[in-house]
Amino acid sequence: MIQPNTTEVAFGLPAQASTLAGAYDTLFLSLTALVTFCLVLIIGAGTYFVYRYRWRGGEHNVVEISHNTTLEVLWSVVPLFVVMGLFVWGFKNYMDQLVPPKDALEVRVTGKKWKWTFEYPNGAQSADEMAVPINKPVKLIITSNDVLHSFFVPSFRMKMDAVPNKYTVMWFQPVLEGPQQVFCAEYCGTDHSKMYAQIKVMQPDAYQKWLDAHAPVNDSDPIAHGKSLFEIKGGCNACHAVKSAAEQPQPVIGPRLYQVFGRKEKIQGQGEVAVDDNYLRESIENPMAKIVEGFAPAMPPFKGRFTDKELGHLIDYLKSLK
Amino acid sequence: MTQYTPSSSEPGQRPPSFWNSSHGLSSWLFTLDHKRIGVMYLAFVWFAFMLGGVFALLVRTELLTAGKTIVDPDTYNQLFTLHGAVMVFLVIIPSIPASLGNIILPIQLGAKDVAFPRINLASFYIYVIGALIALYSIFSGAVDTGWTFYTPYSTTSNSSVSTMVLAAFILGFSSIFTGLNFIATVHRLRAPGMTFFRMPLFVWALYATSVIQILATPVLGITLLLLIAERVLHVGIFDPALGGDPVLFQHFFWFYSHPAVYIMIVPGFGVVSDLISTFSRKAIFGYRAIALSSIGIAIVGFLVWGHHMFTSGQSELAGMIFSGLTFLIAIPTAIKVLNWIATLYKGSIVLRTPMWYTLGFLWLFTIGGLTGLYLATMSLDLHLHDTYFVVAHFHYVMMGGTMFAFIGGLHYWWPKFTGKMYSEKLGNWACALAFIGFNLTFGSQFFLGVAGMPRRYYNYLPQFEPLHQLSTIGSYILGFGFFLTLVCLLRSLKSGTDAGDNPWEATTLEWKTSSPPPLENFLGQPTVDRGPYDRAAGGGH
Repeated sequence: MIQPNTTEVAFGLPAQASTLAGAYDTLFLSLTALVTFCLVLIIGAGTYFVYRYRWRGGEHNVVEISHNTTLEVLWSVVPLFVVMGLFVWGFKNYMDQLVPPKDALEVRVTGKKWKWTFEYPNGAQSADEMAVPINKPVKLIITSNDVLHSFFVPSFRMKMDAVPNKYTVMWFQPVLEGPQQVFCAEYCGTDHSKMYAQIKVMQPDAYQKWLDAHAPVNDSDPIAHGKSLFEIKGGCNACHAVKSAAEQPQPVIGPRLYQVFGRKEKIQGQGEVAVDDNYLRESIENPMAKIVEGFAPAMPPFKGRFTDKELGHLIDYLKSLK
Repeated sequence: MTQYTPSSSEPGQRPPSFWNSSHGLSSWLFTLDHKRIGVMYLAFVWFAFMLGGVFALLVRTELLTAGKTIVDPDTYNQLFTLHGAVMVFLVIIPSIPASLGNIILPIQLGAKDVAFPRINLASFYIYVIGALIALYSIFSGAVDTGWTFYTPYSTTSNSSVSTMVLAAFILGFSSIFTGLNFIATVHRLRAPGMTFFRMPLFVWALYATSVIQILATPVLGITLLLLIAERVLHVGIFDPALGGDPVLFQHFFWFYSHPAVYIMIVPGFGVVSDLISTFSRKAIFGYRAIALSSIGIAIVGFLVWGHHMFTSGQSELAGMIFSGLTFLIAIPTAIKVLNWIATLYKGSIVLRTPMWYTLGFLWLFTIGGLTGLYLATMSLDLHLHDTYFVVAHFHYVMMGGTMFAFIGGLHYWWPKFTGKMYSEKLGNWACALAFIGFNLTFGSQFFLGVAGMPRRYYNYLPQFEPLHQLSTIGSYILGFGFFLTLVCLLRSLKSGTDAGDNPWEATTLEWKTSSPPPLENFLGQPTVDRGPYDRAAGGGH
């Protein structure tokens, strides 16, 4: 969780952490000046007229004015030019915000209930946090594994939806070192409001160290590989706890997987089932087949997401949770 | 002013009012009288408004603290969904047209009833059936998708999405029937001499609204049917797992729902135009500009739906066109506001309860309209989209706009259709509390949105807590204000003084008949020879 910003711009706009945030704020503050002017003019005139021409009893003295063509043309045409100016300015900034430079670092971002995962060109992987080098353009290629999400970074003044079976693009060039808060902005269910991530903006050497620390886990060690699949590729730990209730009280959206192997689960409408390899595989690939009592049928099917070898390693990891 | 001489002007010889023209429950259940149907609509709309209001207060109470306050996240998600769905489909859309419009529009035209009284009654029963199905869905696993039903969440959610969607589908027909009736009534049943440009602006606004209702609502119906087809028959339309496209749903949905926000606000424009003229005791400034700008908004309103999708990965060219057209809508809207302000100039402004609501509308709607400029500006929308800024903007327009106009209009026409005058003091207090509470509730939300607080969040970061708490306190004041409104109006039925036929010295036709009006509104056929707001005693243009 990021500390509250101490360098807010105005009206609560967060600190400007990207190259384009400044241009955004200039437009925002200019429009705010214009809006304030219009508000004072309209509400001021209205309030003054109400006060000045209020009925004080007796005869109603009014001056009938049915229309005034000059005035009406004026207040139609002048706003038209003003909003067209706004439109052009907004469109120009929009294109700057949307079209990434050619040399940008490409990172793949995947949203899933309720986790963001990241994959770097050299294979480095992470969940819930990503690192980027300061002052270098970064291009995010965003998609989703299940429902719509939206990758929102207020300090970059930018968001982009994550759409399943489609890639969307967002880019930024960070200028402030330190963590930047990421929210999910498109409603996605139970833990939508906990789908946070952080973008850690780092100096190049620290960034390199971070990349090394997040190098992909190779599949020579099944349990370590399975753990990586569980946490990053599957994002399973968004809903399933892997330690005892005392050590890890949350999350409890899905069944706790601590000591899961070999225990007996009560299945809704089907009696008891002993957890073995086949049960685990079925519960990953087609979770709706057997719903454990006390839980909502909320898990998306992962069929096709893992290879046979990966499934084996995942199950090995689950067996290791003792 | 018009030529209308009741065949008998002695109060003792007046025919019974529509309340007393027949008796018994069945005389209401099977009534074809537009006023009785309007009154029944009014009762149901208020009931739904209170229900949606309770949901809103529960949502705000949960947000009092950053973590859990009273409910768990799934319940919270259901609460904000139900609040949105009830307020949009059961309250705001039918509020002004189906209740006030039903009661007043035929009288303003000098007609005995709407063109198709049976369809009018059918519209009411379809509304009731839709509302009951919506209520049923709450108890059969309340829907948790948000009122927008975005796919693929809505096609994979285990809550009773199909039931709620079916309710919205059915409610659409009620809306179509009302629109159909108003269009036919305006074209066929105007009193002799009432040309289009002698119609009150309330009628113009309802006419524009009806056109949108008839053209846009079927698209919603089709979209919702496709959604049900996907959920029940697993036909791949929107869900990518079945080969569909989730963004297609957003296009379909907003193709209806953006025009629908004009279905919600344009009737409010009509109410305010009538009220501002009456309580300034002078003709409206720029009558034709206001009348035609409603039509302009109705047409351009169909071409801006894509501004809801600037962050969905939609093409930049499409986004550019939608943004440009959205800015164009600002012009007819600005014209209306400026005309209302100009009407106040050199008037004789009588500050009674309906006028306080009208002024509240003007202030709040102006803020709502101007903050729309931020969201229409593509670049600014990238940051503000799906934050509390949008929530605040939407509520300033829909609640500060439509609901203030609706309640203002209700206070204005209440003495006409009940014959009773409420307590002015209580009415003023209720309006003041609602206005203050409203600004606390939603004014703070603009700042939350600018700071990056996303909408539909059960938990939030600690730095957002003070503004959330301000908003919640405001919502309690707002809720209390609306509760007082109801008390004020209902109390007048028992203890109110007799209102008289024209307590506001208004000029439109409904004030020429008795309060409450008789069964067929007028005793003879009124004729019209001048504009709706013309106060000159001897005629004139």
